[in-house]
Amino acid sequence: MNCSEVHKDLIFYLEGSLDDDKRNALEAHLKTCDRCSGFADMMRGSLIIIEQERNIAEDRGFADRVLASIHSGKKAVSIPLFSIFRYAAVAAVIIFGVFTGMNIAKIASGPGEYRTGELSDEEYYINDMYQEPIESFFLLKYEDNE
Amino acid sequence: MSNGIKIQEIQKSDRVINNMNNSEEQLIKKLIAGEEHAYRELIDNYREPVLRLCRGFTGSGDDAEDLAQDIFLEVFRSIRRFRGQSSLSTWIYRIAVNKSLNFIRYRKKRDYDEYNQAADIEDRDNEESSADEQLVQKEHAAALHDAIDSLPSAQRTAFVLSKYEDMKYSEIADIMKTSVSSVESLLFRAKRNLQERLYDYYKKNLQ
Repeated sequence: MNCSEVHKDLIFYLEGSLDDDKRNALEAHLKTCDRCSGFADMMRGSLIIIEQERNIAEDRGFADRVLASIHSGKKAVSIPLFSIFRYAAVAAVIIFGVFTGMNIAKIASGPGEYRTGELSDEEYYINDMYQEPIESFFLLKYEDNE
Repeated sequence: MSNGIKIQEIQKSDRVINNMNNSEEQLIKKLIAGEEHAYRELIDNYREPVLRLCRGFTGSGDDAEDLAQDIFLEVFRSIRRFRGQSSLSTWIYRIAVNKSLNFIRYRKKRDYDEYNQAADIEDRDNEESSADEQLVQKEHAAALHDAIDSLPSAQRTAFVLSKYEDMKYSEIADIMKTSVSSVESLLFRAKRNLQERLYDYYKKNLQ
């Protein structure tokens, strides 16, 4: 058995689930290979850690803490009206958002095909291209440099 | 907690709970009725297995405690929806597994290095006398849980149920709603992958 074969089967060896032939071959390899026997020690340590973590300490206060959480959080969980209001609030926010968006778009796009060319007060401030078109911006910069 | 017994709900539960023993059935009726001693009884019966499972998934005692509390809250919240199509313990384990997997996903979003670093500093502060050996042991445990964490969800679940809960393949299959042969295959791959990850860690430490 070589090192990579050992690495594949080591955990099964440590669990005791390898057949006799494989187990003997693996043990023979571990006796001659320091690297693999070091890894075997580490894997053995991992299984011991799991065993240790399985031990759960006695804790009489645990039930009290869970019940306290139920008492403190019960309203938020069990009152169905809460969720109805929550959905209503979300719907109201969406509707408000849609109407606001539509109004802004209406203002920004101006009076449509009957546009006279005059800007409304809101339009002037929303669309800053009317305040300083990009061409004049660069033109001014250029003039400054000159 | 409400003490008023909701007769309709209990009658409804009578029709659906047909897959469990009498004492379990009584316990569920009392839970639905909101009787506090029933809540305590369920916690007493399942605290250890649930905490063990959480420990296996999280690798941290504190996280396991928080997670276990959440699991019990979820169990109490959902008990009316329990249909008795599986045993109560299978149903609780399913909730525990789902909650644990969600918790791990949430925890991965946090700055994991910062989390581990904080835990290390806390440990060092708490145990000034901690020997090098203990630190090595902690690093080793962290490496083990990193390796468990890196497994795909199904392999991780099968591994934790097998190693931390010492469950038979058939019990794991029941909880995971899969076949025994799938569990066998999941466990085989989980162990191989875990071994591979731990070997990487071992090699790094050799250098």
